[in-house]
Amino acid sequence: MNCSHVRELLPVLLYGDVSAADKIHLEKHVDECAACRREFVALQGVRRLLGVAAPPNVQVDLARLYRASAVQAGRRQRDWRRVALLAAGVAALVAIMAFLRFEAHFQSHQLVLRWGAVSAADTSPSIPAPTASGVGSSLLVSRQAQGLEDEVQLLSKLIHALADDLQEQDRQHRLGAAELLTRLRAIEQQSKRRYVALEKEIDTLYRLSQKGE
Amino acid sequence: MDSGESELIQRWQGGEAAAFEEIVRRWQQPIGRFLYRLTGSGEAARDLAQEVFLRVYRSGSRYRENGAFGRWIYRIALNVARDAARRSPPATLPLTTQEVTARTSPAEALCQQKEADQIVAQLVAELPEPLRSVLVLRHYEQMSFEEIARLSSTPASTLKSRFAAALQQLRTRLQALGLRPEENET
Repeated sequence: MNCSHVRELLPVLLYGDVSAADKIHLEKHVDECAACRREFVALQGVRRLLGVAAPPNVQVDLARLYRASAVQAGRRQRDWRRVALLAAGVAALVAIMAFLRFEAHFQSHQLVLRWGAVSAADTSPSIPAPTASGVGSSLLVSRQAQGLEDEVQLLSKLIHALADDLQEQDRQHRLGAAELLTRLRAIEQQSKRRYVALEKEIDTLYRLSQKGE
Repeated sequence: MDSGESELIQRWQGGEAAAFEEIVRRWQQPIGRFLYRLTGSGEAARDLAQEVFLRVYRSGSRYRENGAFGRWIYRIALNVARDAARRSPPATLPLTTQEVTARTSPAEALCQQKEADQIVAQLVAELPEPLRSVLVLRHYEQMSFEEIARLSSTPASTLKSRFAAALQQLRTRLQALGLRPEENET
């Protein structure tokens, strides 16, 4: 082992994170090499200095934590409601467009918007018109209308399901908020009781000290 | 983790508020200590501990009990400290070459000790994040490199290099501030 390799391993040697075989080699090198020994002693000093810093006492404020949690839950609920409303709006728009048979496309450098049933004049001459009889054609239109109606009904069901889901979430959040409020009240009562007991103790101590004097 | 804690977690996940409050009482000191080591400030540690337990409370239902609650809560604390450091990095101690003068009386020695403690805490907090967390977890939390590797999803060999770099940086900074580690015998 050369000095450069040994110095890389000195920190892990210091904390005992080397294998038994490596430990023997490293310690032997440190004993024999004055420069590496100085380095090791300096690292031991750093470790000692690190060990003396005293941490403060940390106390979590549970009442504040429950309040913050209720605020966050309310914010999340509002966000969800916005997303759901947006989704419902988009779904409704798609349904209306489907119902109106809305079309948008570019034709000869122009944006063409079209809705309603396609008239015979609008059909492209390159596509041959269906050669069905009058009865067959009306059946086709009726089937398409039925299909659209089914789609609209499906979308409507989806929107209602989404609304029900939202109402359920709303109910759950309200229950959660009520529970939090109960807990906060209990903490408040507990604090008041402790405060009164503490005041009594202080009063007793004061009286005792007065008697002593 | 003991079976009592496992049961406590189950009761908390079942909606028992008292169980959560017991978890907070058990973990607030270790987590507060850890955050103090990472931030170098008691006030910041208190605020961040509040944030850690809020996250624990909010995401309690997502925790899957597998005996690694400690690792889970430390990971949350580490993420909270990282987020806070990104928002406001710790102030850097001015580099002076002034020696910390030797004092003789017990009161002066106590002051000197307190001063040195504050300097060390501040210097640790100033280390770049990857070095700081591995130093704190190895030195103060006394976790093995394998445990830290599981906690931070980083290979143990990388952590060892970072740990060595952290000690070297600290040594350099301590010397620059007049605290000579090689002379610091207790």
